[in-house]
Amino acid sequence: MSLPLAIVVTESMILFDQQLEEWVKKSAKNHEFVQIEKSIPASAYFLLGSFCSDGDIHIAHASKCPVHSSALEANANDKTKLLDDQWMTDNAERVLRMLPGGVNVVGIAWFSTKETFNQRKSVIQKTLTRIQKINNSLTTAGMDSTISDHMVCAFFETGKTTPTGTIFDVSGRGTDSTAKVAFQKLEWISLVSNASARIVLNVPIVAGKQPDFYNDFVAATKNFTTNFFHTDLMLLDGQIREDTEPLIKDLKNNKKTTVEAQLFLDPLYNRESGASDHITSNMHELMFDIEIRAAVPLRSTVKDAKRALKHHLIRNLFSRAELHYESMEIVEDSKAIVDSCQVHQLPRPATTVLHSHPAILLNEFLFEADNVEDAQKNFDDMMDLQTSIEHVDEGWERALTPEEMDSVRTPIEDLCFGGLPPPSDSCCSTKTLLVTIGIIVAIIATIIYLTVAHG
Amino acid sequence: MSVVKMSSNPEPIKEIWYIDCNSMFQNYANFRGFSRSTDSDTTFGGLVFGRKSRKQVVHVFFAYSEDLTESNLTFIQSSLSADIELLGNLQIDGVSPLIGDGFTLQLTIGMLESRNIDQFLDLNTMFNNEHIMLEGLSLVSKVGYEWPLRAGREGEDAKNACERLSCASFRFTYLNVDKKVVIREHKEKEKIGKQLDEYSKGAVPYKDALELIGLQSITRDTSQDPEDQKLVPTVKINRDDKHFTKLINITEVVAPAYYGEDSFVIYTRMREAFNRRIQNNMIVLVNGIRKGRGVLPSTSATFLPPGWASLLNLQLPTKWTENEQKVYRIRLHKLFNLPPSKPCLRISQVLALHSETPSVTNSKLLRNPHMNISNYKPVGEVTTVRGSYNYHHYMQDGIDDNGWGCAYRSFQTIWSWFILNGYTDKPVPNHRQIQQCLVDIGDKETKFVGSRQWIGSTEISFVLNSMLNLECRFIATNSGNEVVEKARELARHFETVGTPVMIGGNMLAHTIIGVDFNENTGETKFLILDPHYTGSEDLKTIISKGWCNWKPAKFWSPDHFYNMVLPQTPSEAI
Repeated sequence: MSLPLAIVVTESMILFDQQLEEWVKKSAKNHEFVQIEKSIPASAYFLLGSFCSDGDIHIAHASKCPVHSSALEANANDKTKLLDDQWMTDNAERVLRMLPGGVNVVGIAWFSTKETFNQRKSVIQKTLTRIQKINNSLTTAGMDSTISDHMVCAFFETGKTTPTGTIFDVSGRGTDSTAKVAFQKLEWISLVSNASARIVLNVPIVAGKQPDFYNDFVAATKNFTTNFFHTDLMLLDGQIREDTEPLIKDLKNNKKTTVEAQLFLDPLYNRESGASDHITSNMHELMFDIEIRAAVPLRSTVKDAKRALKHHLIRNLFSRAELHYESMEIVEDSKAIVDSCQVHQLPRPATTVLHSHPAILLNEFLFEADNVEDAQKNFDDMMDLQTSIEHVDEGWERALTPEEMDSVRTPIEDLCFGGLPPPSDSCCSTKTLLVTIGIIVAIIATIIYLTVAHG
Repeated sequence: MSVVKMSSNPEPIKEIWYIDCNSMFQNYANFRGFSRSTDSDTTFGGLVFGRKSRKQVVHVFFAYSEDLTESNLTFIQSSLSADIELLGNLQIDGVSPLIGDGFTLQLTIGMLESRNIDQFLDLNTMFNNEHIMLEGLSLVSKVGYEWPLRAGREGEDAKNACERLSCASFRFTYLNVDKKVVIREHKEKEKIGKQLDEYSKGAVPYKDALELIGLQSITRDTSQDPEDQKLVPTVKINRDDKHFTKLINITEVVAPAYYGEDSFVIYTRMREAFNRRIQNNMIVLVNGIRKGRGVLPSTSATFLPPGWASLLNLQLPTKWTENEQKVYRIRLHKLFNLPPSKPCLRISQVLALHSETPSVTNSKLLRNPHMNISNYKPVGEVTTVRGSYNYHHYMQDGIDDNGWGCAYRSFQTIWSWFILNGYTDKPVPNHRQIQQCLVDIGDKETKFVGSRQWIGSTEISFVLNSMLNLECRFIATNSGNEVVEKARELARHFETVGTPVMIGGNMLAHTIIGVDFNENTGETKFLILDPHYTGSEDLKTIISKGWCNWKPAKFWSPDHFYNMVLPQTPSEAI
């Protein structure tokens, strides 16, 4: 992508949270040190924050993009010391998976000399473009264009702590612009919900091709994802709200720390009355029941709050599917492919709050063998958090017991529903059901893991 | 519902209930109107449905012994309005079989034949005779769902899928964004009083509807989950190459919301309405599978059968053959004690409560404008058309027929009556189609098509006969005075047949939709629907300016002859 000849000044501002002033000083000093001592020409940090409804970009936190380990070796050549776009994007993706809906990698803070910055500007821009693309695919499954096309770069010249801000239009359609940068007290609000569903779809195998877990996962969930983004209605604290309304009407007197949401699908979406024949050649059945804790700047509109909640669910699911897929590449054997019925368990979340902004709850996903210490380490490594282990919560979900795995393997059509207690005003609770899940794409029903019955 | 045999002498209930005796007697007459082979068991009884909380009997259905089964009971209940439940049984002359819970109405054949209300009230002292119609509106929504039915086990899978869906029906939330109405699962202690009173005041459920968007909630109340921890998401992949049919159902959910009701009652009823719909759907589906018709979707239809005080919600097997559908309709007429010779459950009679409900007729037209004439003082006995019609007149549908199209419009009004009363599903023909028909049957030359030539009473009967296979009676008069003399005959027509009458004479065509005739004084008035009106569908103007109103005898010119076409209804029309 060619750089524009003229840079315009935009009205959007890049707002750093006041608490990041310390980080700037520390990072500037650190960079000065590595530049002199290790000849590392530039340090990059991922800026984590939100595209606020008023057009400003709010930054809550910054996490360091590591340099190649080889860059720190004594005889490292100059090339290994450079941060390339692929490296930065890969690291950004790992960070992205940990972020709640409404919070994104919104840009990069770049510490270097002016000369290096000018030399590496195109790489920065390329990185931002790639991060945006990955964010879009991870957070909306590429089905929705609600991730902002604007990404920011805050440049800190070596030895200085006053940044120069640039907003890049990574779509390539608009122009890039310089933006004012300021430090302010920023606040986020937590958006609380949960989502459970059973998504059933046959993904026919293309002749001559091996089934691919992740691609099939994307295909199997496509109708669900598009329906989810298409369905505009959502209840916030039980009410229908106008998209253009501010989420918090009276900011000055606000005492709310959370907004509760009810999420929906359109049961008529992509449906026409009729019957069609199918074969279970590669039938996928995704079942999930997850808690949602998205976050948006306090000054957001209802529309952006709704969007954050949607982003959270999709990012959460797709991050786990990606991680599971990456782990499968190591452990998968050919036996799994020929099994007529496989059940994959996706990794479980461990969370911790961003201490400076408790509304922002970060997720790390753990495999069965991982423990809370692993989560703590990852939070420290990837997010630059010095989290104590007591603040890491891995109690949200657990893996299935062997009996529950058997229940999941049983076709839902064969499960007995006789003797269920009659529906009541709190009908989702039953004695024998561990999880009651309404079903989305293929069937609406109640999914059961009869733990008590099987236990 | 379990079948419980009850004692024939139940405990007396010390409270006053309400029943519409005339409706019960009419149901009995309809029930007896169906012929029966002589060798079958003639013992009969029946079921009583109504609203327990309001102590109202709303429906009394008579049935022969073999039809008093649990499956029929389930089907009937699944078809009735969600606020109506089984209350009890009928015992006729002390010999009827009993089914289900509740009280037993004591009846005698003599009482039923003679429609003796006093006798009924003497035998059933807990009742008052009263016509019951509640103030309220219909909540209407469309929802879609899918049932995967494995090859060879379709019926069984359909039943289980229905059961599962019923368990999960708390997932549906209904919203009206403009009115900020939210109908969703909540606890009784969180209810909002008089939730929809603003809209239900003065409303009637068969006419007034509140359309709601049906949404499937993926968020649920987790406060009562037995475990704090949830299970991790799982992906099950099955490659066993089994065959199955995916049935997509789009159904309409209709539930009444009465004035004064709270949000918990309304939500519970909406959920019950949904559950009944899917059960009705499942029964029709399984019925079709058993009869070898395969897995076929059905169509949601809501009716207000004649004389009913609540709505009837059915899933109609519209993919079955015409003959199969007819047999099914006859069966429904028998189950619900509907008239044996009058269509009540045809698609064209479906109430268009939802904006997307397909309608055979033009929904922009005024329906039954004469019902809005408020200041008329009858001179004698009034008889009017039986059933609904649409008002067709000059200049509608973008056709300028001012000066020549009055008989065409009168014909269209008549045709709309046949649609709205279930005799045909064919849309109202336009002028050109009417002309083409007359050419096709050889009555007119080819150049007639597209012309502005008039038609008269004969042509109308030709077209009705050719396109709908209907017969017409004619009344010919030599002057307007003779028209008045035919008032008694017209009154009889409206009483027995009920169709609008086209009258042509003095170069004009009109539609007669009622007569008011005083036997003693001979004074006569005619309820006229005038097709010469060229304005918009403005009811106030149409009534106040006399385009639809009562006309005196002198309306007919004594110097001109008039011919009247009295379209007849077919005898086998269900």
